Amino acid sequence: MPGREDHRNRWFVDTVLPHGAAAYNLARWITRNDADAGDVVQEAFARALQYAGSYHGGDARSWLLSIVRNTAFTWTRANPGASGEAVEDVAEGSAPDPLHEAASAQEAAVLRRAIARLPLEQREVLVLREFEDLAYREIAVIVGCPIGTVMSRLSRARDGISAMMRCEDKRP
Amino acid sequence: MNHEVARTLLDAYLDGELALSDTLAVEAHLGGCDECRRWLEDRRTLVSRLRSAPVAYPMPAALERRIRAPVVAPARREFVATWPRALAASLLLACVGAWVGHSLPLRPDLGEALVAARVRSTLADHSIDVESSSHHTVRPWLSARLPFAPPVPEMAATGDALLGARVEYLERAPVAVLVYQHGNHRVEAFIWPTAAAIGPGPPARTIEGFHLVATGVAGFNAVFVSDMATAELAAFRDRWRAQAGSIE
Repeated sequence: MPGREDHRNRWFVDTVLPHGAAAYNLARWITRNDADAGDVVQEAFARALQYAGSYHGGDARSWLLSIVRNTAFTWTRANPGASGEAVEDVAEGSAPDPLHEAASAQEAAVLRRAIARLPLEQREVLVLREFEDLAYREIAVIVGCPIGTVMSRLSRARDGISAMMRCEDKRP
Repeated sequence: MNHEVARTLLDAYLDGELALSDTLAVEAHLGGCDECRRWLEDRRTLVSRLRSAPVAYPMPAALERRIRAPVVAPARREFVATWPRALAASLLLACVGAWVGHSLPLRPDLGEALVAARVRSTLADHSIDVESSSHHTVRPWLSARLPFAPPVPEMAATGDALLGARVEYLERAPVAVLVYQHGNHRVEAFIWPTAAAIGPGPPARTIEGFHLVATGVAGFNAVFVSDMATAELAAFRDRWRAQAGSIE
């Protein structure tokens, strides 16, 4: 009989770790900074392991993303200086991926800049919808707001991106 | 459905989030509204751009390794990082083995795991899972996770402080670990049930700064591991034993 810790670790490896990419992406978009996102994710995974008992089945990704979000907001409150509209360093963070066409990398850089300019409450909803493909209902649980609020924040986020992209697309 | 209402529902329509009745109403409106159709097409293009460009941030490989480390072969990782301590630990094995080998339903090499657990908790800075100075909190927490309920003396009366507890699985056997503070020193008491408890105070052992003393009390064996001086640790052990005996 393996011990409980073995069970917990196996559950963690099989069920939680596969969502590391989603966790990092969300943390990165909330903190808008590589180093801080790394700290948040590491702390969030430590919490997830510690509070494994609070997982009662259901979607492990949503459960983990809730922890990431809470960790990131705790971090943001503890580091108010870093939570400003740090638009400029976003472009640096979006180094071109050599596997992609230059045009695609440029497109990504422009989109990243636009998303980074969104208010946090719209940004997180947009990220969960477009990159994690979560349903409104799941986003509502993670963010802790009604589904109608998810809907309106997502609409405003897309409006914002749309307006910013219109300006970008007009550039020579 | 009028134009303004339809417009507010187009994002949800695009995402397939509308109830059937709203979906049908939006489609009916789209059939007669060029403006909304164009708007919806623009929106579809925008979402497609967001999803097809490499916009999401990939996790750095080094970070992935860091979050895997605690759950993948932790003992090995920490022993590699701290081989001088591991050496001390393996020397301690012989001592602890003498106490635990014959009297426990556990494998004789438990001692190694026990000392490793002590070292690991120090290095990982994670020695306590339930933080409380009250046995009313600690004991139920432990008994909910273990097939036994160990004695949990609070020790406050004698100037020692119970900080909390954790559970270790050593050689697949559950062991309760009580964490105490005495002055500047931390004492960890590893406790497990036994049919044949050892005597009240076999000789203490000391190797490279780690001291170990043991005792048996009321169906349990306990080993105390600390960097506190042997005589002090033995005195702690005796106080602990007296209080554990009195609450049983």
